[in-house]
Amino acid sequence: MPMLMRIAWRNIWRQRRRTLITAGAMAFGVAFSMSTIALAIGLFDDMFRMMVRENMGHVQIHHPDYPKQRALYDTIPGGEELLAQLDALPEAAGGTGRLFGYALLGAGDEAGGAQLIGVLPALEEAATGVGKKTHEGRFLGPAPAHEIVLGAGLAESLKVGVGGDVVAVTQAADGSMGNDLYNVVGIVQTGSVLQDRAGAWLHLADLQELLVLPGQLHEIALVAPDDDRAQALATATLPLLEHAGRPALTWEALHPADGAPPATPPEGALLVRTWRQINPMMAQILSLQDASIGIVLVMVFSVAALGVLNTMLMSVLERTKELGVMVALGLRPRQVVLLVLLETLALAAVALVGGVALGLLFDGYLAFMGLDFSFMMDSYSWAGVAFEPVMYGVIRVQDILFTGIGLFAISLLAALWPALQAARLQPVEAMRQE
Amino acid sequence: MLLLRLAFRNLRRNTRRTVITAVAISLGLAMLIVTSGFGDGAHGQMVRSGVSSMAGHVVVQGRGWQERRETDIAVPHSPQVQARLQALVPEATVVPRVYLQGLLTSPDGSVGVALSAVDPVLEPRVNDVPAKLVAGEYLDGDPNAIVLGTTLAETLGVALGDKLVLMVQHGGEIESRLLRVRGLFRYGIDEIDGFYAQIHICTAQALLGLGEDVTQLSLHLPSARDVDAVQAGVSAAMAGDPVEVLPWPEALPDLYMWVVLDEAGMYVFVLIIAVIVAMGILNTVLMSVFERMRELGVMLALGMSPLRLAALVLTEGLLLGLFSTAIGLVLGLLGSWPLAVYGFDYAEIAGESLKSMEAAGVAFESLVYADLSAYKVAIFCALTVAMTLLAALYPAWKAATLRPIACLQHH
Repeated sequence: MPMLMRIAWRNIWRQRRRTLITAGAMAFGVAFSMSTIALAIGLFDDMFRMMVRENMGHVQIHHPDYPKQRALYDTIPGGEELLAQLDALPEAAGGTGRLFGYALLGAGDEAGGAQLIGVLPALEEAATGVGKKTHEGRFLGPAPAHEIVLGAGLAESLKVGVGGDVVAVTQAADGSMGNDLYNVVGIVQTGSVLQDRAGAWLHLADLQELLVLPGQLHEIALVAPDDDRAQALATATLPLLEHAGRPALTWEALHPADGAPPATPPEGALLVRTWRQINPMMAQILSLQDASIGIVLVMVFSVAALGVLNTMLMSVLERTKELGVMVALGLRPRQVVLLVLLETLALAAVALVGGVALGLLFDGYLAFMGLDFSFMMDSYSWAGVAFEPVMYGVIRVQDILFTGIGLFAISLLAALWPALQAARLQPVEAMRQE
Repeated sequence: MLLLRLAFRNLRRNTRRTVITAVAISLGLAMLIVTSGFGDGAHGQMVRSGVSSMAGHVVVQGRGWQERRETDIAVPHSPQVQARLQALVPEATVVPRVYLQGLLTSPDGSVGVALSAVDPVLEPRVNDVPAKLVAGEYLDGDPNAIVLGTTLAETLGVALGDKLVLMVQHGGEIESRLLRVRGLFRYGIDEIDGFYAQIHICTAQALLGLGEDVTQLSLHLPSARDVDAVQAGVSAAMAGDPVEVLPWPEALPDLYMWVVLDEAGMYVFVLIIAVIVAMGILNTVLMSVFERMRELGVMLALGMSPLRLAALVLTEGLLLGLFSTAIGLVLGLLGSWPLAVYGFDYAEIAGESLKSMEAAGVAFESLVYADLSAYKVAIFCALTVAMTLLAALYPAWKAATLRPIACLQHH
């Protein structure tokens, strides 16, 4: 075996130019696949980060009817105390409470419909980092002071900037018309198309006052320390809620797998859901991730494989005589197959080293500099997520490994035919060939 | 002619190698045709969806509306302008619209929404909202009717026939109007189903004090290819009016950029495949030159000019390219055919909730039909042949600079 390996290595360098061109094509394929994958992962990561980790949270708790009907009065009574207990769970990296309402916002002659989001600024900031997305001005101050932060699109359509005033008109929970004046302190871009177009953040207490919902929350959002622990976090909330006298209803109980009728929520129950259950579309888009990587690899490598096939076939055919001599000298057909496959592996290894080196160069550029489309557009949106016009790549060791394994596998597959051709040589005839 | 025969015979001498190389080239071309047709189909669908609901192929708006989007910027003398446009471009459907923002309120709550106020007779000819109705009917002559998304109706807790109040702000005043739910539509996208509604155009005109004027007159053409010509014609005819005449890429810049970016991504992919294929061709032709050193040397020694020898190698490349292009074209058309006729629905693989998705602000359906343009396919074929020739250049130059003596000694 070590001898065969030495022979294989020497053989591929006998036709230096051919080896280099073939390996070059393969290396180029590897480098390109790596950078495409890095960009795709970057895109999916951005999407997940913006929509889940920095917005929805991994786990949300609502009144059982709220997600479907979004009625003002389907609140979580005593939500703020509950939030404090949930935030203290060791499974939670952060927690925040929100109250929602819709209002017509007016500024000067302009008006626009807005989704009002009442938050506890310090908790919201700690859990989702929304303050970092403030493009102008600042996020809400710690105390209620009739401050408001607007989504960038909303601020634009209202033609109002930091320092301006807006009037909110809405119907309060008690049926009265609520209206109040707020001072714009900041403008944010969260990455959610809807929120950038219509979101307006207020201090929780200010919104509770406007909507006449004192002490109420619509939503408790919890953030897990990492993305894989969403389910563990959801599970950890159940005994706590039970203990607080608020029986928890899971999404599974509302959607039984066997088609049985869903459970009727007991009085005072709360609904606990993970991000997958809240936004199944996001979960399915993320599942496209592996499929799209697979398609790229198949397309690139199928073309590269034909190059390998051609090269190895040529190299076997032009060495008919030589291989015949080796067989006559006692090399077994199995060993001939092995030799050709070893040569292919050597070729693939050369390609892999070059390809990964080049690929890391591309990846490094994509990860640190990014592809900048800001000269073309301000942002582009897909599946409800507004992406920044700079695409960054994300390098993951597993993707590089996967590309490498793919390269070796497809090269060996392509070399099978030439290898079997070589093994079928009849030494006498082969040596007779000119 | 002799060159052609020689080149043909040379390719036949190593059938296996020629076939493998041809398969690589034709596979590359076929992939290119299929992906490009699929991409164009997807983009065409997005553009149709955006153009039909949010603009037109060409739009006529009050000057400055695109930039400022203020509801009091309208097209003056709209009915006359509409008639002029219709006479100017008889094949177009000219549709008047007022775009506005408002707050819809029911006893259950209120939601800020985007509204299109439309002509109930003309709008269904260009917009697919009537086709997306899941309950009730589309707008008719009733000025107090409203059609809205199912999610929005759920949020407001209203059903067909229920009453809603629409509040809008105009000139510092809040104006409101009682409306009745006439129909519910569903696209499967929260951004639309939860925050969009349509009302009768005269209701919006009354609420905003526009008289007979409208925000936008949009021209919907039978084919998107005529956009530039129509835009130029309309622009010239309307030069005296205080209006702006925009083609859809300027009326919907986000959508246009999305399409451009996505296409650019595809071309990068194509380029990469092309480079890998070209290296394969280079290898094949170069090897075929090296293994024929002796033979080529003899030809030179017998008086063939180096230039003719280079031409021979190039002709071999050309033949290989033409042959592969023919196969690739057939493969590409065969691959595109089911995609064009039956379409491809990736939601069937990825999951039901992707049936309809938001992209660049418009509804993007997961069922995509490939759309092949003869022009693009012709360009791809020409590029494939050109690339093959290009890859044969270096080997041809090598052949032309061979020294006969060295060749004849070579074994």
